[in-house]
Amino acid sequence: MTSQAVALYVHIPYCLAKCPYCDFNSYAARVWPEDAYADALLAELAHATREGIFPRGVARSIFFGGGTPSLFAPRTIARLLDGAARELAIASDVEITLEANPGTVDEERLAGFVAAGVNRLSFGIQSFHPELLLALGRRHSVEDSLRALAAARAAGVANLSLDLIYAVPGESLDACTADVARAVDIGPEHVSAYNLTYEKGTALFRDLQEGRVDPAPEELEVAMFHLVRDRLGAAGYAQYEISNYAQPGREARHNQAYWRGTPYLGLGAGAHSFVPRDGRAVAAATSDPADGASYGTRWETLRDPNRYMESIRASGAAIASREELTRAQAMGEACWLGLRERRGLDAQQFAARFATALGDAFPHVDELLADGLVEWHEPYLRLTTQGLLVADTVFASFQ
Amino acid sequence: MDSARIRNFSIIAHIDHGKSTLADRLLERTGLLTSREMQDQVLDDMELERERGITIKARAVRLAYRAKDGKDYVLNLIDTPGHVDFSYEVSRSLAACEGAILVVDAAQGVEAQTLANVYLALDNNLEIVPVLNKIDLPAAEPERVCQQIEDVIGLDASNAVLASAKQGIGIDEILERIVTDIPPPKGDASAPLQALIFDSWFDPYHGAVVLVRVMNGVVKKGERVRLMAAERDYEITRIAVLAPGPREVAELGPGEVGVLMASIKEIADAKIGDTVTHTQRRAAAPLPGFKAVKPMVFSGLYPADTGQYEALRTAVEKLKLNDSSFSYEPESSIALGFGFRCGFLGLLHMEIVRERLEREFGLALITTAPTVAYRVTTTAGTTLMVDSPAKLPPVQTVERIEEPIIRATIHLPAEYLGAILKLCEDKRGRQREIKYIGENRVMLVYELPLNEIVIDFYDRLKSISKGYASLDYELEDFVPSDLVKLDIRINGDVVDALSMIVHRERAYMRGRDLASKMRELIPRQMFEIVIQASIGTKVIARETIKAVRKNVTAKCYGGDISRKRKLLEAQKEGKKRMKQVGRVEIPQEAFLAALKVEQ
Repeated sequence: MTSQAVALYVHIPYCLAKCPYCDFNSYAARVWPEDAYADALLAELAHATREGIFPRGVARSIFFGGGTPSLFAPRTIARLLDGAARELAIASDVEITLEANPGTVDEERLAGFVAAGVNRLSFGIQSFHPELLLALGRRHSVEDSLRALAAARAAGVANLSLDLIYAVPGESLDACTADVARAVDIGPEHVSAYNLTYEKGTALFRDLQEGRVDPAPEELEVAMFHLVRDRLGAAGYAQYEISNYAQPGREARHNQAYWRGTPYLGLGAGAHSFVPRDGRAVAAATSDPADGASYGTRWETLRDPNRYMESIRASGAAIASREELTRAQAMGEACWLGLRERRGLDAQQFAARFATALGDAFPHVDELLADGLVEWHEPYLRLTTQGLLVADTVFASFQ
Repeated sequence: MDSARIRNFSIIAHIDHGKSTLADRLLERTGLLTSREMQDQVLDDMELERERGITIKARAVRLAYRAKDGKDYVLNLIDTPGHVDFSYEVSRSLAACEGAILVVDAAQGVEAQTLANVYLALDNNLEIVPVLNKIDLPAAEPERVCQQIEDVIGLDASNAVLASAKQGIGIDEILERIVTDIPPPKGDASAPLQALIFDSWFDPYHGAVVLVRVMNGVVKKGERVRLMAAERDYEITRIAVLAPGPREVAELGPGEVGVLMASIKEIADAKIGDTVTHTQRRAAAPLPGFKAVKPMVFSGLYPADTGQYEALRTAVEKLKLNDSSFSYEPESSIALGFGFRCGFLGLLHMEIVRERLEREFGLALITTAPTVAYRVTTTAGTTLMVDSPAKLPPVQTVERIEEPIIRATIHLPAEYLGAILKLCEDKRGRQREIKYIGENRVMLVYELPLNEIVIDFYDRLKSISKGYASLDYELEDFVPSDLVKLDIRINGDVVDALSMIVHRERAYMRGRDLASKMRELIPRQMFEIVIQASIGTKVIARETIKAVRKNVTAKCYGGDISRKRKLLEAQKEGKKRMKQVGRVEIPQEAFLAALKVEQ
C-alpha cells in the first residue's frame, strides 16, 4: 500500500425508468441481478488492485453513482464497502456518497445506507415544479422530494446534496428563482445546478432535432446561470465548480478528484478509470519522454451489464477500450479540468507534474488573460466571471 | 496512302446520348479491341472526364475497316470536348474532319450541347450523318426526333441510321455510311506541308507531343519542321498513329492523322490550331482559323492548409505542362496566405483545374471569386491589365477602367426568346442581331460584358431554355465602364480574398447578398462580428453576428473526460481549417460563397 490518495467509483446501471435527458449508462429494469452484479464489482476491484492495474492507495472518497444506486439494498452497499476496505486503505475521513432518487427511498432504507457507511447522499431532485418534472420525464413528485430529504435528515445524514436542472423547456426565470429558493430553504450542504443539456443519443435530443421541444433561449440560460450563482452565493453556497455549490468545507471531494488528476478506479458496467503518470515516472520508464510516452491511462469497461458480468467472471476484467494519454493530451486535460474549478488550475502542481511551466506549455494564456477570460490568483489560474460562461471556448484552446 | 481510302470524322452528341458507347462499338467492330480487353469507355481516359461525362482533350483513334465494296479504309475517329469553354478546341478538331456523326437520343431528342457543335460542324462544311441512338428503349420516338432534327437543325434526317450502341444495333450501317457519305480528304501530296495541330499534350519522355491532321504535303521522320505560329523549328523524332495505342509509322500524307514527336520542350509552343510545315520548303500561308488561346477568367487558388503551398506550386507547374490555356503566377492574400493567381478559359475550365489539383495532387484548395482582366488607365497615363481586385490601383489614380466585351452568339428555340432577351438585358447586354432560322429557331448576337458571363450566364441560359439554347462567344473589345471595387470588411478589416470588381449598378445587390451570406456562414465567436460591404469608404451593406454568450459544458465527471477531450480536439481540428482575418475565424465555405452569390 502507498499513501497515494485515490478515488473509487461504483456504477449501478439499473433504473426504474430511463429519463429522456439522461445519457449515462443506465437501463430501465423491474428486477436486477443485485448479488451477481455485486459479485462482479468485488471481483473487478480485487483483480485491478492485485494485478497492479490500479494503485493500492488510500481511498479518500467512494461514490455510488448510476443509474439509481438507491435501488440496491443497504446490505449490498455494506457488502461492497466491506470489500473495498479489504483491497484499499480507507481514509479515516473518507467521503462515501450514494446517489438516490426521491421516489425510491424511505427513512428505514436511508438509515440502512448510513449504517452501511454511507455519509453523503446526493438526491436527483431536479425541480420543485411538477410541470418541469414532467418536462424532464421524472417519475417522482415534489412531495416525494420533500419526504425523501426529510427522511435523509431523520436517518442521520449530515451531508446532503441535491441536484437541480435549469433551463428546462418552458421554464421561466421566476420558476428558476423559486426552485433555488426552495433548495436553499431545505438547507442541504451541497447543491449541483446543471443547465439542461441535450446530449446526443437521448430521447430529449431527438425531440429537439425534430422540433418537439422549444429549448430555452440563450439569453434566458445566461440569466438563469447568473441567478443560480447569485442566489446560492448569497445563501452561503459558494460556487466551487461550474455547476457545483457548497457550504464551506462541503465541496464534493470525489468530484474534485476527477478535476485534479487523482487516480480513480471505476467499477461496474461502462465505468471509466484513470491512472496518471507524472513527468518523473515517465522519465523513469522511457528515455524519450516527449514522444509517444504515456502520461496516463484511461479505460472504460463494457457498457452492457450482462456482458460486463460475464467478462468479469471469465477474466476478472471487462475492459472495452483503453487509451494512453500523450503528453499534449494530458497537459491539455489537466488545464481545462483544473479551470472547471473556481479556485482554478494549480500552476505549481502543473509544473511539477509535467516539468514545464504552464506559460511555456501554453503561451496563449497571455491572450486569455488579455481578453479577460482568465486571471491569476497565485498559484491558481482561474476563469473570470466572463470566462465562466464561455468556458468551453477557453478549454478548446488548451486541447 | 491513297487519300481516297481515308475518312476523318468526329462524333457529336450530348452527354449521355451514347457517344462513348458508340465509339467503343466502332472500335470493337473494326477489331481494335475485344470487349474483354476494353475498358468501359476508351476515349474518356481521364478519371475526371469519365465522372463528368465530358471529354476535356481531343483524341483520335485510327480504325481499319473493310467496306462492303471490298476495299480497305482507314477511318480516323476524332473526339471533341463538349463545352463552351473549349469551343475553340472543338472547332480545330472539327477542322480536321470531313464529316461528323450526329448522335441523338431517340427518346430525348436534340439537346443544346449538341447544337453548338452541330453549328460548328456546319461552319466547317462537314458532312453530317444523323444517327438515332437508343432505339431499343421503349420511350424511343424515332419519327418525332427525326422531325425535330429537321425543324431545329435544318438537317435532312430521313436517312438517319437507327441504332443502339449498347445493343450493337446499326453499327455496321454507321461504318458503311462513314465510307459512303463522308467525302475523302482532299489534299496535294506534292504541295508544301500543311498539317493542323488539333491536340497536344505533355509526355515526360518525348516533351510536348502534337496530334495533327495533314492537309497537304507529306511529313517524314527525321525532317525539320516549323511550327508556324510558334515560329520554332524542330526535328521530327518519331511519327505514330493511334490505334488506339501508338504505332510508329514512317510518314503521314494528305488526309492522315497521327502524332508527331519532336522534342518540343514547352506545351506553350505546341499550340492548338497551329500549322506544321517544313523548315526548308515552307507553306505560303498557315491553315486558317488559328487563335492564340488566352485565359479569360482569373481567380486565386490557395491551399486550405498553408503548409501545402509548396505542394500546390509543384502541382500547378505539372498541370501547366499539359495545359497551355492555363496560367498562373504567385499571389499572396492577407486572409489566405500564399497562393497563385490563375487564368482559365472559363468557369468550367476553372472547376476542372481545381478538381484535378485536388484529386490528382491530394490538395484542399480555396478558390477566390473569378474575375476577368480589366484594362486600367492611370492618371499618369499608363495602361495596365488588372486580373485581380487586389491589383486595382487606388481609386484616385485611376483615369478609367475598361472591361472586356464579348460577342456572344446564342442559338435558341423561339419559345424561350423572351426569357433569354431579358437575361441578356439583365446582364448589361447590347443586342447586335436577331435572326429567325427556320420557323422555330432564333439566332441572337449580343455584346455582353465578359464579367457578367463568367458568373452564371451559361448556367442561367441553360436553365431558362431547359438546355436547348447554345452559346458561343469571342472576345471583341474593351470599353470604358463604371466599375468599382467592392470590399467586404470584417470588424473593419478588408478581407482581400473577398474583394471583387463589379459594375456600380450591381455593387449594392452583390454587397448585400455577400454580406448576408457571410452572416450565415461565419460561426458566432466570442465577440460581435460586424460584416460590411463597402465601395471605398462608403458602406453599402451591414450585418452583425452576435457574440456567443454561453458555451459551457454543465457536467464533467470521470466518465465524461475522454469524450469531452475528443470533442475539444475535433473543435481544434475544425479551427485549423478556418482562415483568420484580424481575430475573426472564417470558414472556407465563406470564400466559396463569393463564387455563388446570385446576381
